Amino acid sequence: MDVKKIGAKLSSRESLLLKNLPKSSFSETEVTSPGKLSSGEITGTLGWLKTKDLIKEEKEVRRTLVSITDRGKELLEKGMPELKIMDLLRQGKMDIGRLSHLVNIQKEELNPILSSMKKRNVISFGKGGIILKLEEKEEYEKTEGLLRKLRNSYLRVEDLSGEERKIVSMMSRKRGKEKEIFRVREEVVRHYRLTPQGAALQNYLLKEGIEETISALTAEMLENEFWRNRDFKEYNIKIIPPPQQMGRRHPYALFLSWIRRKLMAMGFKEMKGNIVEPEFWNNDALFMPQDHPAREMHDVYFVKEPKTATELPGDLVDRVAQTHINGWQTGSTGWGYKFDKERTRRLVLRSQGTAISARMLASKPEIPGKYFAIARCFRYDRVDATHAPDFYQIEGIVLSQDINLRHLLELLRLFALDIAGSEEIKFVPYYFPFTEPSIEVQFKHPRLGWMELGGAGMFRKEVTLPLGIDVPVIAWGLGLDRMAMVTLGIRDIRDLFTSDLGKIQRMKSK
Amino acid sequence: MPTIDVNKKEFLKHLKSSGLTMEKALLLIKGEIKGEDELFLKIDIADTNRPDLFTLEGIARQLLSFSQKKHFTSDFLHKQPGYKLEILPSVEKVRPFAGAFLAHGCTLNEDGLDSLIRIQEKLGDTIGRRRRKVGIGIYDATTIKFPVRYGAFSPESHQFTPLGSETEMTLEEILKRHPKGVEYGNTLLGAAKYPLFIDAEDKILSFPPIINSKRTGEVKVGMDYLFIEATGTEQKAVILSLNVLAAALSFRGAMIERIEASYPYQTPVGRSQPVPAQLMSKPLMLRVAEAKKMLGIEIDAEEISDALLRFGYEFEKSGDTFKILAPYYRSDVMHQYDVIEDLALARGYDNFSPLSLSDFTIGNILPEEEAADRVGNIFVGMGFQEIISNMLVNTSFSSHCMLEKEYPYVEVENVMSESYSGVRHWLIPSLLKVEMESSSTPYPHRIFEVGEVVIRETRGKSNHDSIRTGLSNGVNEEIHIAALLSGPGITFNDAHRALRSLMEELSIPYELREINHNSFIKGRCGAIEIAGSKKGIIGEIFPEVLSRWSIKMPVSVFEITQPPALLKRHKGTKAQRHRGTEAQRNKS
Repeated sequence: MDVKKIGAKLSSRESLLLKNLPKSSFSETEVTSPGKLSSGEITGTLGWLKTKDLIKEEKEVRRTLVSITDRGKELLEKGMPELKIMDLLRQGKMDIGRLSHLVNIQKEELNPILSSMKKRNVISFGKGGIILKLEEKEEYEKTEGLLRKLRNSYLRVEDLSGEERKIVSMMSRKRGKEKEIFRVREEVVRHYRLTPQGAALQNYLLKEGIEETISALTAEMLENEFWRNRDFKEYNIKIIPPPQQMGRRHPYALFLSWIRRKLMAMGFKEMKGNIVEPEFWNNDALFMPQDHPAREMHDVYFVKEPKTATELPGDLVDRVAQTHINGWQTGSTGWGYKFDKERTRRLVLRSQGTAISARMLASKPEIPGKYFAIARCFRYDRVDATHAPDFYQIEGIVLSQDINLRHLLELLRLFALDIAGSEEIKFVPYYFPFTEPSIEVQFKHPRLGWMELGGAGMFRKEVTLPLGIDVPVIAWGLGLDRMAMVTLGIRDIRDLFTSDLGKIQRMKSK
Repeated sequence: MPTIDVNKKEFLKHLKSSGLTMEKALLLIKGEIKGEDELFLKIDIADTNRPDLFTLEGIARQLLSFSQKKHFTSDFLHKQPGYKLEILPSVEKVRPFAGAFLAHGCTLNEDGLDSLIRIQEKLGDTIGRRRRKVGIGIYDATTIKFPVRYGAFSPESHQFTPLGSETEMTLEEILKRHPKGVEYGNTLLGAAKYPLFIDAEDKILSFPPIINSKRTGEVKVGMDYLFIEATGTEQKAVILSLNVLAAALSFRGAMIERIEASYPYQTPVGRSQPVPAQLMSKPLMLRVAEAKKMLGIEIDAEEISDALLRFGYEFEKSGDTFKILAPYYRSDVMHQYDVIEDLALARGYDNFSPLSLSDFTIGNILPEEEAADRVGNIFVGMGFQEIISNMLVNTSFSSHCMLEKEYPYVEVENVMSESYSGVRHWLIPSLLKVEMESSSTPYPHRIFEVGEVVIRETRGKSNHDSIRTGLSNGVNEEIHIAALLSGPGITFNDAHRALRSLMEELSIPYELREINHNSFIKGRCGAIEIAGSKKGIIGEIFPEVLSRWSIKMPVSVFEITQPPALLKRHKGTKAQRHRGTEAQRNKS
């Protein structure tokens, strides 16, 4: 056994303590501190020596200790109220108000004291006040004595007299928890003995003296070459350190930027839209009739001030209005209702990313062209685990002379494969006011089963023609928040936007 | 989207005779089962524009017609109406449109009656917009003498015993005291006169769209002669509702008898309108070539004819074009593409093979997003955690906490919850909210957010660029960058160190100019100036502000209101970068 090698792994505190340990069995409370070690540090260091097999634990002894509480100390300073009360009552009966004033104790606190005194027949409540019946100071004086005895230390219950034990148990029962004046607690004391290895190392250390091993290497040591011919303290490299404070991107931001890159790779250009939108772009241009339920107060946030957009492109509004009324030149019958042009200027908080696609169609897009947008949208909804006050949508369009439903299906298949990572998909007939045909895509999640990926369709002619586009347009929108929740393992949508830093730091990235 | 309750027993019977699987059936009606109990299935119907599918009868008709090309009669549409509904001039300004029809020969059993009431309620709620646009009434026709009149009268002029009451009430009393009057009274808001249906013997049938009279308007099991009316503010919706009801009753075997509504004033469809009626004024042209082009498939006239039959269309083929009339109970067919979708449904999406896009296009990411990404990575390098906050905030609380002098929030009018009463106009409050909720996370905290804000210009003009048409209304939308540091010993200098490093990394020279701002400690707050103009703020948060946010640590922050376009412009040469740094050194 190479005691020297083991010695090199000891911290200076450990070797210091080891040198001081008695040869026979000892308890942790008996170890005297060689340096300025606190009792906690001694306990800890003994623990380390034990893990290194230098000492072994022989037994644990439980003992019950009594000490006094802050309240106890306070009583000691002010004196026992019972003794004061007896002193005061000796001069004659007294009402409780005056008594409270003279002993300087609030009535609520005084009452339980008085009633316990009455129970012991020390006082009685007579007409016109409280009367001292029996002078029985001894017990209270003894309590005071015990408090004094415990003022600066603690005692084992076994070392108390029977009478003292009675006082302790009575005084800790009699008053509420906060009012306790004694504290009784259990303590475990471990008893150790040096192992043969420990004894050998102790011998070695005592004989050879402690050669200073290098703990933390300093610049100074390098400068003066102090380290030469010295041993380094060997570290326990298995100890888990506290975590490093990190700078981190928000996992949702990473997810969004991952999606952006995916779409860019598919040839999509990113579009930008407005948060505050006139209803024209949010709804009218998308052929949503003006009394559509999704346009009402219960679905959309209306802006309080300013209420309306000052200018809209008049010719566009005319064409869209005509399309709603009678189909304009789109070949449609239109909705056939009275279109309110004023309504088009009403400002709302964007409720759907499709508004951005509508704007793009009206801005002379490239044909063939592919565009997408990641947009914060707002809906009038009660906020809960599945509804956030504002949330992300991803929207896109594909414009080309030669595209059809089958291209749309392929695009959705690609999204499912590339973004949701699923080869199993389902196309479900669906309805949106602005597309025909309309499709909902579902994909099979390995754990959660069939999930909605998003909606898509071919924009209606009633949408594209008034905005100046006469080629087929594929439109699609994928639900991002839901997918992000699945990807990031989040169950409550509010956690995506949480203000709890700890939660954000624990959120796993994709 | 509407959720409808359908009688499970009846539904399963029809499903069975259609021979379709449940899955296929649901695809056809764009439905999803949301739940069920012993008696009913709850089905969500995605197509808000197909009220005919908001009924058990309509769903069953669609399934049977699709699977077996079963023909359902609509012969009654071509018969002369035997009765008249006389519309009086007084309703023109109140609730101008009405229609009615008779159904007989189908004795109502319990299921039938239950279904009829459900249709009435569902249509009133959905296309009726809670009876404002359309309200429907059903009556025992044996108690009615024709012709029936529909007119408007002053609130105290008539009284009758409404359903659910034992005593006669005036119209005003009904609106004030009758539960239906209280519930639907707002449909007549502001009207000086109230509408009534009155029969030839001057007996009141109902006070539409509120309540029927007890005498004629109580529909019971065993009745086999019904009078059904609808009134509303839009003629097409009124007719459509009655068409859907007529189709449902006809499906149950009833004979439908049209009634002619005659108007004393001009309406979109003229002065006379028998109901039920075909809604399309002229046939729609479906070109085979267009169907092929839209669907990307080979489809011949035979397949098209077959599909049209399955969806109940009436059609005539001439050359490469089909002249088409939609079934009378459908109003969603506005364009040939609506028919083309049905052709696709008939074939089934599973039978379309996806086809790769062949156009070459170049993708890109918005420069501001690239810049935001770059800024984000710089912050991460400096040990900052990124935050994404909700854009909706509690505006008055935020303003109160920040001791803001101005109020540039865009607020919403219909507030759902005070916690989300408007849009943030800067990011620092969002970061302080994080601080407020994160006192248990070990300090120091270093956090940042790059995000959109919306600023209502209380003075001056908006700077919206012209591509974002129509918003020169004093609302600015910008992307801001904000950072916050907090913890024992954090001071202004810590924020400034981060700002300096960020700006150096971005090669943007800046200067700080001392300013006063209520949210910050006096003498520890500066405007961040880039090229001589204010592009942000930096400072140590004033303790009163911290206290209002319940934050118990010193906090220093900065926010850059620099539009990302500028970030790009300054993407710099080494010289620029050097000069910027020098300027800073000289200053400090």
